[in-house]
Amino acid sequence: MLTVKNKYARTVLRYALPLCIIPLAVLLGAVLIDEKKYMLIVLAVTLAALLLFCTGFEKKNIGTRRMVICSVMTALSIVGRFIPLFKPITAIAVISAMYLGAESGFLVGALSVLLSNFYFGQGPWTPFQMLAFGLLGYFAGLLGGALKKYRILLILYGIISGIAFSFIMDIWTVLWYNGTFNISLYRASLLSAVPYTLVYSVSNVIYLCILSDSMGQKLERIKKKYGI
Amino acid sequence: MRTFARYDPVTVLVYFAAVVGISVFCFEPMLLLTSLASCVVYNLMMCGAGRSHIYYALIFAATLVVNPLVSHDGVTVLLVLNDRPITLEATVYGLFAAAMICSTLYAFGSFTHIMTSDKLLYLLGILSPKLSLVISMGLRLIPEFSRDIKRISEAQTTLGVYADGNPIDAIKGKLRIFSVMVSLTLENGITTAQSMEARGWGVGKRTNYSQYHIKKADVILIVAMSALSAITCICVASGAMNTEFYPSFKTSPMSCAKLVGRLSFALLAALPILNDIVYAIRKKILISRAWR
Repeated sequence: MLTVKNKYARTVLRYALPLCIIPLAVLLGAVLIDEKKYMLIVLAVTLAALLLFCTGFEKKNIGTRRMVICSVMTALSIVGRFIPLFKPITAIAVISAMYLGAESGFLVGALSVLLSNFYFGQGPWTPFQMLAFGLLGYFAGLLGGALKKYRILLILYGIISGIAFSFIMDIWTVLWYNGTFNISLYRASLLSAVPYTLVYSVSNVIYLCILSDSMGQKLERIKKKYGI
Repeated sequence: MRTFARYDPVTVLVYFAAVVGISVFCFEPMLLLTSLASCVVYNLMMCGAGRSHIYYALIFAATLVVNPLVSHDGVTVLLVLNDRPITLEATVYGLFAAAMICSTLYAFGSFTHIMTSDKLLYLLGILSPKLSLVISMGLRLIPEFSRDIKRISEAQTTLGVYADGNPIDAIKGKLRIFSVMVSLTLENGITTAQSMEARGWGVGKRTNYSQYHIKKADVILIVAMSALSAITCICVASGAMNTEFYPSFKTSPMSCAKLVGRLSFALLAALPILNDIVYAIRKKILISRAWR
């Protein structure tokens, strides 16, 4: 079986994926495969990045309590995705990242998309959405302290992450449709996605404003009370 | 003998990855049409006729129309719209792009139908047992939320804090219930974590139980599917199936490799349909024998 339970294999993967396999895939793709097959490379790199996270997660001694809290946050954001139009996934991933660390943010963002897509339709876009939401959470975790301190930065992050999500997903739309990157198609799909981008940004800001204080307090309290 | 959906999740995953991968990355007209046909038939067998087919047809029409409107390459001009030429080649490319996108959508429709969350947990458990535990705990919480919300709102009503005459009060009340539910769930989560730790979770090596086991038929199917997709990929890589859309639509001449590639892909794509038909016939025969 294709297990990564083996500690040795996991360590090998953990270093080989970012240092060898991903750059190699990009280089080989640029040199060997003609430009029609960009999507193959993009998909390979996306899956490799998600696999990298899986191996890192298994190896890192992430505490039981933190793990359980991550699954609570994931469940909350799955339920939140059923709210029509305004979705709190990014906001919840950002909040988890701010209070539980960057890795938890990645986990909450990526997993909530993976699981909620069972209701909303699984598709070839799933890995890209997972990576997009995961990275939005991850970067929030890296900026954690500043985001907690300055409200204006948090609002800015909400706006930028809504726009960034559209930009990432439209790269994928163009690649899927066309096989190769076409700037005029990209512009067209970005323009047609403007209302969605606005909705993403607005809902990110709304949810971050409503939830960050109350959820943050609760998470801080839990952290202090139980020593996570 | 089982229906295709009841094979091991790994087998099902290999099938969908092979069919979707080949139809997306080997952009060849005949392969795309075979893939579209088999994905539609299998989806009809799995999910039946429903409203989703109208949605797929709309997407097909939209993707078909977009390409000639955006791309103006090609030599055969059909008509001129707003001083921009609409070409035959761009329309043909749009048609096959639409076939590719719809066959992927249909394939993923059947995939979602077959791959229930327990099968996903099994697949992820192979990769990372800890991750699959997080997922299963998360999934369990969702029905629990609605139960908790009901309990909390009953308690709030009894306390008399919950007013629903005025819309602002109603929203405030809903937010309060949500906030209580989050605290409650987090506390419950910590309790779960503490009892897990007390029972020695994470001390030994992690194993995960699953009710799926790879059987002989699974191995045979996986080997067969890998061989068929390898043959198709080799035929495509040899250049025998090259198709040019721009500047004019051109396919490579008919050859042995082209035929072999098309046949092996057709067999691969139709595998679950054939399997299910054979299953239905054998079932009929067995039942009729039993009645004799």
